[in-house]
Amino acid sequence: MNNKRKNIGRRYSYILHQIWNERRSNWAMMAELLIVSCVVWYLVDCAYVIVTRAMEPLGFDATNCYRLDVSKFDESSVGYDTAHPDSMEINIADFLALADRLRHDADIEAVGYSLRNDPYQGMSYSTEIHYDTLPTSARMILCNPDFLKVFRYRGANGETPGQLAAMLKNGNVLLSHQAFGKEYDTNKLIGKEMKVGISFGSNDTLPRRIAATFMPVKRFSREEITKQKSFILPATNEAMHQMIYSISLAIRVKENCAQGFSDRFRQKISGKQLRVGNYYVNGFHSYGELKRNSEAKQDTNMRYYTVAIVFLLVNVFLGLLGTFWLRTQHRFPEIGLQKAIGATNTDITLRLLTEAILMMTIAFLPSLIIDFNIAHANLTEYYQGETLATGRFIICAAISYVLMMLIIALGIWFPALRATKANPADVLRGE
Amino acid sequence: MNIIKQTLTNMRQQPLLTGLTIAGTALSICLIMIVMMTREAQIIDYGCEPYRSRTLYATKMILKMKNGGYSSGSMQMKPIRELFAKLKSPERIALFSPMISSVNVNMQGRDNVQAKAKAVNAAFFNVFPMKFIEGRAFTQEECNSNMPIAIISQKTCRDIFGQDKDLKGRTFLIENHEYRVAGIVEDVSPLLTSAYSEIWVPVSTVPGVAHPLGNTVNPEYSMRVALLAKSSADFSKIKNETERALAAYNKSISPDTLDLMEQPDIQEMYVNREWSNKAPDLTEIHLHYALIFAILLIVPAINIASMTQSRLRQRKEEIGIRRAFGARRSTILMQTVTESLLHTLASGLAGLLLCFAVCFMLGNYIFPYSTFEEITDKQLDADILFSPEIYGWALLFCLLLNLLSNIVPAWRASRSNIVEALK
Repeated sequence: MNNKRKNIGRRYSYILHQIWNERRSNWAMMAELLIVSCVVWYLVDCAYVIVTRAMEPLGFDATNCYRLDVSKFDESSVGYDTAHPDSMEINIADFLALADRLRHDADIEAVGYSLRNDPYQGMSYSTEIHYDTLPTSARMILCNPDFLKVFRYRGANGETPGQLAAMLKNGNVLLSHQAFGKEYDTNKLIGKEMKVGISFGSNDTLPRRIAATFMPVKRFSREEITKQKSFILPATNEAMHQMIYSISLAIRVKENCAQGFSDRFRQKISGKQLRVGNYYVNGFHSYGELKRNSEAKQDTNMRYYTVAIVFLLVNVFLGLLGTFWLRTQHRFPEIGLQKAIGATNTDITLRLLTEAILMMTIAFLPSLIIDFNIAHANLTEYYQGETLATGRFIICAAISYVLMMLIIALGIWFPALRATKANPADVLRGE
Repeated sequence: MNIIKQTLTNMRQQPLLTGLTIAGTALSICLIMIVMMTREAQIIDYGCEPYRSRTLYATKMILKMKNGGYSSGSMQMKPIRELFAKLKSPERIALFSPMISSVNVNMQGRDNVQAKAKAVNAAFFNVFPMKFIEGRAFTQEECNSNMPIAIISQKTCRDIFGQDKDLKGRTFLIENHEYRVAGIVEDVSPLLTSAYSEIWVPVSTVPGVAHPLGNTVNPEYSMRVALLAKSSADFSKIKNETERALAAYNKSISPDTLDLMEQPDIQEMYVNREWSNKAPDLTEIHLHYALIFAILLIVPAINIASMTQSRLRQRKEEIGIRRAFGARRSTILMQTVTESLLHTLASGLAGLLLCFAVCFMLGNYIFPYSTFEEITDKQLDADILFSPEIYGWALLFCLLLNLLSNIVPAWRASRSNIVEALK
């Protein structure tokens, strides 16, 4: 048992000695491995932040949902209906009637309208809310109760969307879980009153009763869930006066009606069935499409990271191939001798692989120190408020190490094949 | 000639190393070119934006209000009318709205078409000249009188009308408003973010209502200005005049203040101005690019250096014999330099071909989406590909790369002791 361990130890120390002896020709390779390890880690870290954010729970479900484009004929339009002149009351009535007509459609499960609070909207309204003297800034969601059913908001205590919707009545507010920070358990606030500063230009603070708390909801898929503080108010008639010119309309299609829905709906649009007064639906976008558009820039960045990592690893591959090809040739005598003594082809290959991996590990360790300093100097992306977190650092370093190992294995492949061709007879003849 | 023959023979004797060196450098060149092209596509003069180098842009503004609040966002028509439209030093003042990503367009009896539209003034077509197939650009009088006329790109004509000629004067509906076709232009590349659209309609520059164009964007609150200068030497003159006009404008809207955040911008600032409340930091952006190029050069340089070292070590004997027969050190050095040059040429060619291949196959993936615009497909313009400027730069980088990595090992090899080498 002891002997076996000693032998393995001897093998590694032998290889390490060899690396040291050949340091003149190894320096270039090690320098390159060091630089590439650092850059690969940095790129992996950037990608890590994007991926982690994407994997967080969205808080809403927008499958089979569509945002409807609602337009309004005005006086200079062809087809203007003079019986519905442009007045606030008529506009609100027409819009609500349109929403109602959609609700009765056979394909549609629920209709929600809001102050541009549906997902993937560029605008948002934030205001200060207070519980007692505790303030925080939160996003305002102003919508009809069915909006919660369209996007399947969930209660923090297991309430279904339907139950949350039923609680969204006059005088009530729904608050997102831990809106005042992790230290203040929002469960204790249920039933209590909080003050909401309405941001429609006036500074009224209305007291509202917290009817329930809901799981936080992102605006865009790649945001951080921990930053999402919001509260929900019902869209009363008074609120509609403010909302009507900045309103967005969304529908959820019944699951068994999803097949062929686009074509049927497009027909209804061109068939002019979806018009009330001067309001009409003239287009629709699936939330899948809106999600992809909003992610486009980050996806392009991910592509760049991948290209950069591939480029660097290919360079390492070429470098390894070049360096070890010649080296194998020089070592033919030595390899032949080893084979004569009884080493198998696998042993030869493993010896070469070990040498390369040891070289890589020796170069990797200082790169970890550099990486740590880069993260510590806040030069990487912030995630949950930090650039340097233990779990994240270890995972990214591990991924980089594995990538480097893989490329080392690939780069050694051909030289190793060549090494196994060393013929003991030829070598010994030369001696 | 002899040197070249010699070099070629040497290269053929070590096919793997030569191949690896060329492959590594070719990959570097390809990537350098692609990175440069994605940047240049946004900045150099080409296509329908041939005057980028002598145009200044203003696209965002901050309005600081007396109670300490502020609102930041796109440039609006009010400061444009009262400040920019009154400037005297620019040759032309063009107005263009951000892209309105989908307007409903239809012809009687045909299907609804979704098209992209921009509201522009008459000077727009002077600053961003397009090839007219039929008709002509609007005149300022037509713009001012709010005439419902539109200029359409060829492809969109085919989508709307089913044909792309003989359409002058035909009427159609944009968001249920009647418009008349005033001209048809050749398709504009989506990479030309200022000029690109599928339909262009007039926006009025006199105080009054901008022409309605659906509910998505109101040009009154979202408009961009392009100031065409007679030459880039005039930029300081224009900026000075803008500053004076800004001071006067701020007096007129006091106690509110308008902050232009260093605008009007040169092209490079304009395309990097992502946020409406912060000027872009060009130094940081340039540093980013410098770092990328440094890495693109250093890593392959190390590779080539070590491979050259190995190659020359192998040829130590040969060099020893040649030196013993009287070859001068300078000859050996010259040969290595020639080898560098030949490698450079070979990798330059390989890199160029690789770059073309990548661009044609993956063009859609590598060109960046411009911030906050909804352009979803970017096609590579043949114009950029054949820019000799970019290729020249890439070749220069490559030559530097090869020389840098070859010179030191070559010098050391030529100084080696003959006796040592012949052992």
